[in-house]
Amino acid sequence: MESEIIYYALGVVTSPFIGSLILTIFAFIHYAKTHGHEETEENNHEEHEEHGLKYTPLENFVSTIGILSIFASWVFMLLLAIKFFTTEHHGAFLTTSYDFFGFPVTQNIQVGLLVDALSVYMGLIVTTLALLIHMYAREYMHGDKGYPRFFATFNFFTGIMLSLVFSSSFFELFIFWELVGLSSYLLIGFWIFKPSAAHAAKKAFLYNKVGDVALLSGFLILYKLTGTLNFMELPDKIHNLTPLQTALISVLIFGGVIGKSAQFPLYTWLADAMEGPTPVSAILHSSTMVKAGVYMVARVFFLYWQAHEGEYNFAGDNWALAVVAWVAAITALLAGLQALVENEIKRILAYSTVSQISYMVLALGAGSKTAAMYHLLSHATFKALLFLTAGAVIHVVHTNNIWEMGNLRKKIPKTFTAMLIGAIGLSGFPGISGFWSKDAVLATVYYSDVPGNKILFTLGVVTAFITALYTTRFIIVVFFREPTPENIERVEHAHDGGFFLTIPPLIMAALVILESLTFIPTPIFKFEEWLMEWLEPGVHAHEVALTLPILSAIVVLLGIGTGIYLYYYNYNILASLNQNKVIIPIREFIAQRYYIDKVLYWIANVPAMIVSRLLQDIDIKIIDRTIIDTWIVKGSLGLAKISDVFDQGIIDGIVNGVWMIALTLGRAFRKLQTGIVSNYASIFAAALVIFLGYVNFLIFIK
Amino acid sequence: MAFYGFLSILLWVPLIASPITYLLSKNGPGRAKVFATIVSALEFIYSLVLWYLYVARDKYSDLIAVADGFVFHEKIDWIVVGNLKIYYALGVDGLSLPLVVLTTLIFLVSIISSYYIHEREPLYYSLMLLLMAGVMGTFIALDLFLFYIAWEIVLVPMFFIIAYWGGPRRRYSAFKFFIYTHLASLFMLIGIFIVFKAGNYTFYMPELKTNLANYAELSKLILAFYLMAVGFITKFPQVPVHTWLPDAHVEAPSPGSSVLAGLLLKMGGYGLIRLGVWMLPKQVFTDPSSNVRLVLALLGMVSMAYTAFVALSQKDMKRLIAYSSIGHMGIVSLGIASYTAEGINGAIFMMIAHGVISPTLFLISGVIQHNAGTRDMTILKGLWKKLPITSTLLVFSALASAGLPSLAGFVAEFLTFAGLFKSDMFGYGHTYFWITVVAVMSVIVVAGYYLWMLQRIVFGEPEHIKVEHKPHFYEIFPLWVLSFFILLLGLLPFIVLKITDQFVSIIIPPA
Repeated sequence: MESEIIYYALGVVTSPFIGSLILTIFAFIHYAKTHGHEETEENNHEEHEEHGLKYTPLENFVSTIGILSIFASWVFMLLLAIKFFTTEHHGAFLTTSYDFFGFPVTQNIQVGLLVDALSVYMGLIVTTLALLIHMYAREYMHGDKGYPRFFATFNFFTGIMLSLVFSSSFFELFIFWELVGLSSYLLIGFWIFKPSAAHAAKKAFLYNKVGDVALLSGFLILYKLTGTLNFMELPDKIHNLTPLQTALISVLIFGGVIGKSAQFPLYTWLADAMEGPTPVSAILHSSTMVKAGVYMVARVFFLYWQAHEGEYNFAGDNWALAVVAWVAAITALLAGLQALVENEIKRILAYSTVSQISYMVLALGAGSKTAAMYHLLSHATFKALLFLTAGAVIHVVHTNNIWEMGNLRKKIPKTFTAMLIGAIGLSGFPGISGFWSKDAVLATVYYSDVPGNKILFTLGVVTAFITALYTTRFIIVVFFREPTPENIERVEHAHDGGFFLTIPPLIMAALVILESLTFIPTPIFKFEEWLMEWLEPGVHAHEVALTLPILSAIVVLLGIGTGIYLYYYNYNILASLNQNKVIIPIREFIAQRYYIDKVLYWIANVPAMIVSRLLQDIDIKIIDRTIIDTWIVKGSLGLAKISDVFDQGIIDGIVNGVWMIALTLGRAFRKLQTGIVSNYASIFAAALVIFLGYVNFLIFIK
Repeated sequence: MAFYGFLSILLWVPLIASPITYLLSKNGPGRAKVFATIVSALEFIYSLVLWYLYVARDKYSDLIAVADGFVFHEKIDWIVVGNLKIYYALGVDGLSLPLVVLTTLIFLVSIISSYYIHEREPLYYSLMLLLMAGVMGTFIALDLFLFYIAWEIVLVPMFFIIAYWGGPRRRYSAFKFFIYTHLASLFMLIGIFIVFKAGNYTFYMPELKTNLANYAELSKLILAFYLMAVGFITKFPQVPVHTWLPDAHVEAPSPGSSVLAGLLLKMGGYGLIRLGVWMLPKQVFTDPSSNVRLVLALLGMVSMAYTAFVALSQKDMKRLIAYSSIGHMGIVSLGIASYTAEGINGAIFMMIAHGVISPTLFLISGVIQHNAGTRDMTILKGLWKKLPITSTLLVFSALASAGLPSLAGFVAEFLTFAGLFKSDMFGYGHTYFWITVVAVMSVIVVAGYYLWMLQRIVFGEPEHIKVEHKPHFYEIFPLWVLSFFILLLGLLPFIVLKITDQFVSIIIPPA
């Protein structure tokens, strides 16, 4: 039983890597053969789909390998999940880990696969969505010169995310955590020739790196204090920590989440990450990368909650959770507002992601792993769906700006249906998946004992309203509103994409509906309780008053109603609002990203560069030119001159003196013994040896 | 019957081959490079055999001499003056063996990637082999006299390599390199003499180690440490005695840079660990009155942060890599200063990791210069379109240098930081805890300048680059070899760490 689970987990993790390896080697051979000129022409990615879909043999081969390896991973994942959820044993399984560093002191840092309810649950989400997105990418990337490179990196990304999910220690998690950053760097910057892509890729990597350093420090302090980094051992070892230590470590680790899961103030990279191809955005936002942060906090939730006598109790001194909750609530609101003023469809979705992830983090801060993972599931599905359909929309109208679209519902009915379902899910329409999970989050916040929980709850409700509003906004503007005259032609020729562009979104739409049905609490089966039983055994959900879901439903309906009124029935109000002198600066302030980027760029460009130039000057002007070239070289030359004087004046004098003495002595000798010329030399040598020997002797005894 | 020539072969083959290379190619040009390649390839294979024999030394115990904690031990009287005996003594242990293999590897790839050099070809390869013998001697000498000779011999060929085959300011740089390192090694010499006197008048290191352990005057040993450290730290180098390095790198031909960064810097680290950490008694580091660790940690921290910022405003790619080298050597200092098993293993691993990563970067910069015509990062743009494979390898090695997990640099950084956090330097209420904090934070800036470099060079549309032909095989092949090792060491670091820990566990016995 156990060994089967382990083998399945190995299959899940290794399949994407095998695919990636084959594709990487293939890509290199391909580039070496074509001297790399294959990609040198401009990628006319947007232009190609008119000529019908004819995959080249290369594309067929590459995408087949790519999709098959993910499919294999998905099958393994299903087998693993069936095996796991049907066992009586609710605990965790661990592969025999290998000793990474190979020396005794660090034997507590292991690398292995940890299979428990959390990782199986997450793995299911990742593999399912990755499979669908890979299928979509087969058609979406058609005609791109970098096809092999794309699939090689994309498979790698999926493999990395799955490895992160099944990590068994902080050390291992950190490896994949940073590699997730690497793969997103490569994918966001996939269109290498676009300067904006290069900038966005760098920004994503760097913002993440800031968080990663905090994370690294956090768990290294943990390592110092407990001597281990393994998730299986840590819960028993953290009892000895003081609340302050736990809080410090937790907040540092949360720093990693701020970077990776795009929380305030490091969330702006996510909107710029839209520079990558749409499948990348879809996978980045749905199940990988940004969800990694949520997943990690859930993984080490015992740190945030000190286990006590088998039950989770909120430790009074542990303010880490409050930090988490408050950062999340603020981010949710800020990003939600930004989604409301954004005009590019993918950016709207990006800010929406930030806002929704904040819900998950908020749930964690409020103390419920279950609510967070619950919302993660529903969000992953509908957000992947929204991105894929948004990609399809952009694909057919060749623009990213929603105001240049309009009335698309008749032109692209399949895409419209799918996107509408996704949007209903996102808006939190009563009865649909997003409603149930968001409700779980809000209820958790409402009943939690985090300081200021009522304010947090209010922020959450306000964000729910904003979410409904912006969702309605882009759906109406893209699909219902009449296009402006200059854009009519653009919209006229729109038509649904081919098989792979439409089927994966429709499957996802079906998944959203399926989830919605599953989430409806019935007396027989309540999804949330089932999830809680697996993720947090022994914890029981708080009895939720009926007023909470009703309130949330009213707020959402109100948001949707406002949206329809503002953007469909009554332009005039919107127009006058846009002219309002109070609104304009606020709008501008939001559109400028609250100047967060400006401040961060300023730090990178001004003080950092000032320090840099200053140190550079110290290096070249002070150390090199002044100290070395001037003082030391001139000093040495001066010394040399003195030595020269010493040499010629004193030493030579002495030598000459010796010479004279020798000469005199020689004369004397010659007077005694008739001369042999070589005597001069030998006597001189003897004298010198005696003299130098004497000097050396003096030095030596000193 | 034990065989006593294992290491002598390693040392004397390049030394003898050096003049032969010169003489051989008087008749036909191009012979020198073939001969030098063959010699260095044989050396590399031979060093791998030695690695295998070292690991399996229990199986071949009748063949391999083990004495005084050193394997392949050789010791014969060399100079005998009265009671003073200077030995010709060689041996390797867990510290030097990985460096020996690194030496042969780096010389092999550097010699291969020198094929573009046609000017005074015989002399060049002859000097390369002489340099190899010098570096090798430094790593395997067990007698301080021999060690010092090898240490100084290295300067001569390197000086000429910079001065003959270098860039426009080569003479200035060569002299700077020579004077800096030579002056510093004089301090080291004084330190060695103090140790020599304190250790009961011997130059044989294992004997000195035993004798020094009983030496009462700690302050004198600490003084000796500082004097020797001046030599090592200048070679390393660390701020503020680092300014020869960027100049030397910029002016040296790229294979020369690769040897300089890959091996000559490691001589400093090796010396610091061998003579400082290993030979001197533990008290030099651990005694409360000694602030050796603090000084080393400060040097390391300053070197990391300082060079990270300076690298931000570099325009020449080689200069940037040179500054990053200084920063990485700062990690070595910090690892030693932490004085934990993790830290010292991390420091040694950093020398190996940096020993394969920085030559890759320098050789790539050479490839870029030869094919795109410049290394100036304000001009270079859109390289990926012109040189896709070189660019891919550049991204790979730059990220490896920035400490990306699963590549060699990360293992070293992680171990060092783990050691630093674990050591008493980092603790509540401890004044020095910010050393760790600053060192860790500077990693962000390191990632920053590398990403900036990549954005600048690799991405975008090419503007001023003219590439007529694909890079030669001899330019790309060494990069593949080194990249393979970067990945290998990142994924399976225990290959090296199992060996180095045999050395570290002598200094810090596992609890």
